[in-house]
Amino acid sequence: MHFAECPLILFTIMVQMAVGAFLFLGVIHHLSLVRLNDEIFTVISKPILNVTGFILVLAVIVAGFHLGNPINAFNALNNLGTSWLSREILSLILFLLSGGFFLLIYIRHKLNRKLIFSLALITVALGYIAIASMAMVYMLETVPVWNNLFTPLAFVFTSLILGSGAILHALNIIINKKKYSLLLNEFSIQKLTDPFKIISLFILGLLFFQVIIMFSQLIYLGSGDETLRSSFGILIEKNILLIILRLLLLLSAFLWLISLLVKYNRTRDLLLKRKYYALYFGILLLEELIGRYLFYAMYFRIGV
Amino acid sequence: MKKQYAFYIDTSRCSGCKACQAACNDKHNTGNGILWRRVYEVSGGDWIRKGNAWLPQVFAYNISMACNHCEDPICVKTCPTKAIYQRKDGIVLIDENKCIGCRYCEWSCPYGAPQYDSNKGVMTKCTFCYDYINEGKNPSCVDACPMRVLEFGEFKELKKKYGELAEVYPLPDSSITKPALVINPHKDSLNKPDIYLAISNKEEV
Amino acid sequence: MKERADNSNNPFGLSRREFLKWSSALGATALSVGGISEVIGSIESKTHPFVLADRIVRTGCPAHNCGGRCLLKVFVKDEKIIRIETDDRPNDSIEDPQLRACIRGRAYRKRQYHPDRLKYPLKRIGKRGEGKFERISWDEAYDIIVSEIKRIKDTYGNSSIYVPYGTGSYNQVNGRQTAVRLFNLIGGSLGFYNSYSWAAISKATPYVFGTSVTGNQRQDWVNSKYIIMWSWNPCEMRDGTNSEYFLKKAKENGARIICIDPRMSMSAVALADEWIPIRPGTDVAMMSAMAYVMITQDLYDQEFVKKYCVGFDSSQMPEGLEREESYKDYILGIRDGIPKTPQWAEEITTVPKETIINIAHEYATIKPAMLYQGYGMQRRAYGETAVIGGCVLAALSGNIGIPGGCASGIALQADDGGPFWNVFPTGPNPIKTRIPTFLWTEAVLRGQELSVAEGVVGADKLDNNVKLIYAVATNALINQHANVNRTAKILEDEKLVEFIVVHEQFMTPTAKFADIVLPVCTQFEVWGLEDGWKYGDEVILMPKIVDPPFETKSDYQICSEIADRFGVKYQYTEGRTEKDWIEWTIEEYRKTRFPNVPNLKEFEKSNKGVYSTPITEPKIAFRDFRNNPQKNPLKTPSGRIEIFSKTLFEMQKPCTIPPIPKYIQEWESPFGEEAKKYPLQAVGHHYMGRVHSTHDNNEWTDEAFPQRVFINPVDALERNVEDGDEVKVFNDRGTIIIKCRVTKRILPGVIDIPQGAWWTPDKNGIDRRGCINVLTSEKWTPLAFGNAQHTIMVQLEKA
Repeated sequence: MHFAECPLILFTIMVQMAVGAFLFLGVIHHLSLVRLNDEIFTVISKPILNVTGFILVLAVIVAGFHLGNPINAFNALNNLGTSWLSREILSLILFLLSGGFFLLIYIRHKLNRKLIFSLALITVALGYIAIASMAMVYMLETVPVWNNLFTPLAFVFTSLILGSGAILHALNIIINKKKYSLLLNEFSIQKLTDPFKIISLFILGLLFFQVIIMFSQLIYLGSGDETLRSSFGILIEKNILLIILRLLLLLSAFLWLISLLVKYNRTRDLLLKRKYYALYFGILLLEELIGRYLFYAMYFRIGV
Repeated sequence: MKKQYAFYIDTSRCSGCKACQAACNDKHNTGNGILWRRVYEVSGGDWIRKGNAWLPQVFAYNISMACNHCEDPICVKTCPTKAIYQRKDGIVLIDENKCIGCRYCEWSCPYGAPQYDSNKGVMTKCTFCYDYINEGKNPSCVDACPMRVLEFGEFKELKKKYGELAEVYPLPDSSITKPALVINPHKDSLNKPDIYLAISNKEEV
Repeated sequence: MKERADNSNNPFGLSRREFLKWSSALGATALSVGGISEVIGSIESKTHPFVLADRIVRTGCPAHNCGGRCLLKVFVKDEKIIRIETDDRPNDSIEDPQLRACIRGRAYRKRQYHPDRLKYPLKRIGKRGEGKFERISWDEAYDIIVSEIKRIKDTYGNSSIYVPYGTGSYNQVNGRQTAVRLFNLIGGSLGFYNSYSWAAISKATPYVFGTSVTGNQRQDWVNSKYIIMWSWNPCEMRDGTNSEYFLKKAKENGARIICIDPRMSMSAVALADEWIPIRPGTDVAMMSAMAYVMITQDLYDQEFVKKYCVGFDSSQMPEGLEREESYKDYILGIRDGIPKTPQWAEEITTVPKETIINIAHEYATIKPAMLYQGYGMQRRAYGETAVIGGCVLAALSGNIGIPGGCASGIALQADDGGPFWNVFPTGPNPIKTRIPTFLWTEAVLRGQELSVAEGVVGADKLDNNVKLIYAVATNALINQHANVNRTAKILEDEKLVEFIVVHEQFMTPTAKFADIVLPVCTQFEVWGLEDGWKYGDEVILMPKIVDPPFETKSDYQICSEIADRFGVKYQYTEGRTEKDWIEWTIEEYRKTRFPNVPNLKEFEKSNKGVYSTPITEPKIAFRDFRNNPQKNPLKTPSGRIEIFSKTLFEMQKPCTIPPIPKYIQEWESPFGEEAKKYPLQAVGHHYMGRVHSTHDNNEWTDEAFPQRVFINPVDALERNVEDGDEVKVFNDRGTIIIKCRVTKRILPGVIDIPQGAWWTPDKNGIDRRGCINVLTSEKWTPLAFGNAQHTIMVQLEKA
């Protein structure tokens, strides 16, 4: 892997995580909305949305470090006609604009629920369009190792796994803050934590599939044509330890989550145990960073 | 009628001496990691022991490669800034003033033509010595070759003269970018399955 | 002298707009710019601003003793060289081909403007060899040099002064010849003969043919139908500008080309139909087996052998030696009981017997055929026999004296032996004693014991040990001489050589051992003239193009200023400037090989750089001899081709100098005891990125051809070494550590460390740059007293 690709690892992970976090915040909102006070939710969402926005801005800045000549960065929109990179950047800008607009309205308590809901939907949709364009950037005919379903799968999975993990982590932090504890009674907390069960089950499935995908990708590369086999070679020869580490991390995240679920059935104040989620999120973040590193490391182009 | 300039490489007689590379370095002040023209050494095969004798089944040839100024250049398609553009005579150039140095063209070009200049922060590549072409002269590399294996001309003419081959291992399927390239293959690059050919001078290119 | 680039040969890219502006400014009307399909916008010129040269000068490539003599087209702007192109004469043809420069010439700007160029005279302040110097003035440098020369002259005599072998400059007024001339005016200096390049082949060839002119002019190569490149790699060493091109043309003419070399060289890849790797030092075994096939299957040219040779069989042995072993006896094993069969040779050479049989068949039956010998195989223990072995094969095949054939041996070109190289007159040397150049360390250590038995000529023995070394344009004091660690020890001892002066452009390993280092200019900074190398029929003018930078001077200027201090300035200069000497040199050429060469004024004015005579009827060596051997006998004792040499026989050293070419196991060999400890043979080929050690510090050539040890995967695997690993290569003489390149293009059991890298010892004395001479041996060949540097055994392991 080239050193210059470090910013790209951070950039793609951050954007995908932010999109996923936005999605899951909405999901939790939706699942808990029926019984949870709208205003309370707004209050706890605000810092999460702010942090998400901050991460996105950071991601854009980090992406700038990838450029040799960032002064010209706006030229990147010049070639919407044929370049997926231009399209990615455009869709990202649209996502940011939509998200910003949503935040503006949301924060100002203009509680036109329909408007907010549609805006949220549009934002999520634009987010995933951005992720899809991002995947298309890598799906180059001359880079067979990227030019397959595994690329969009990897990006979407990052978004879902890290997005959900980040939201759980964030809620966990918020609930434990004194400032909010006055606001949140036991009932509210319980309403907030209920969706966790559903989400956790969903994530368990994702993690399971993530392992399946990892193995099928290795098989796909190992049994493919020469360029794919070269990538396979790079992975196995130079990065086998990272692959094993990634598997172990996935496994521990999986087990951790199961143990949380089991505990949750017994004690309902799970979200009050801070370190549980910090560790869980930490494991996933590391796992995804390794995954993305491997994604760039296995780059192998046809030709010379 | 549309013009398309092209290179002809007689890989069968290329020694890999890199006079072309040096000529290019000298003309364009490149080098130090920026090689608009490079020479790939491809080798493979095996050694068979027969008692005290060694029977070589070794294959080797060189491919001198600059930019092939493809008819369907993937770099032009993927460049987000339109800094890479194709002239009417087929020459693909980079406008360094527009380039943002994202290196996306470097990822996508299967011929390794776009080369990143870390001092300027932009991509650079073979210009086909269009300045010389304007004057009716050959690109610098062509006239440098001590073996006279490089030629420059109109794609059509070169194809008429030397055939249509534009791919030998490890060059990609020429239908992807339609390189303006005509190759005379080396004997070792033909019909030799399972000889584990590979680029063997990676650190030099 | 300033020449403005006009439109017709303006090399610089201009956008059309600029182009038109310029052309109208210069009043040009007819523009041959056909092919512009559009008006070029300004984008290109903005991103790649082009400059217009102030002048363009065609000149010779600063030849540092590669085999090439090429033409450069140098672009100068603001008194700085900004671009170097090559020969652009129209009508590139076989008769008069363009002299296209290789990477070394094309990358020359990186040498010319290298930040490490020596700028001022330097005086040693540390221990000798330590590399610590201080800047001094030219006057101080001259004072020291003059007083030391005087002291050593007075104490030991002129024969203790030595101007060593040096081939860094070959252009009349730059180079060691300028110093030789100086010393010849003040009492002389110890002379030498031979070279590091082809000591054995130049000595051995005349024993067979009575001459060194054994090669046809190169234009004739295209007539050959079968060419064996035996240890010959013209692409990489540039054995004459265009040699590889002539071979390509021969190929196009239908020749089959075979390359016999432990390495699959560049030449093998580009030219050969078949590559036959051979264990280094066993060439004679393969030659003998080929002869065995040719003899036992009646494939050899019996008529030719009978008519033109002596010593083939008992019927044609020299008078009085009828009972000695003839060549045929040896081949058939009549005396020693060992028939030199392909099976026998296979065991020695690693070449499968079927291959040997096949090559023998082809060489004997495809006519005309050319066996051409390179020099790598003769820089070996018994290099002379390998040379003679090739000559004998050529004789057996009858390919001598005919178009498309070759007599083998050194093959200087017919009919006059080819170019002169230097004609700058050194004058007569009052000291008549000469040593073989490779034995100079012996002359330092035990000069007074050195005698005829060790190659001394002109006297029975030396009067003195060498006490003063005046080195010009050479890195052979350390880097290129064998056994660097030994040589370094010798030179470090100030009691042995008491004073060392070095003229250099860079702080080379040799310069580090100097007491005084004098900065000299490059060829671009002084006038010069060169003709071809081994071949070629052209004269190349090398005008002074830019001024010498800093305080650098030409070798000629330095020596004339020293001459002034000895009171012999006029005798030295004869009132001539450097340019005047070039004029003188041209006139010398006119007297002999080039009667129609233009005089300096015309030559310079034409800015053609080169004067050449097209060769339409290439000369054939031994044609007259072949037509009528009685009337045109060879200059051998018998007048014929001596397969058996009576002269060699009379030396009475049958084990090392056999009168017929015999395979002799080398003193360091895979078959010897030493192989247990050091199982790998090491060779050091001429690297494309360097001319010997010149250009080792050139970033462009180093990027293209980094210094590596090349090793076969079979040997690498055994040692758990992977491509790119740092490896340690060593034997009893020294150790180097550099990166390796695992390549199938070399015979298992052999490694290759391209010669010429600058010796760079770390604090433990381990060379970190890969100078092969750390490993080579100072032992010399028996007949020529030449270097046998390729005969070495080493071990390699992961560092």
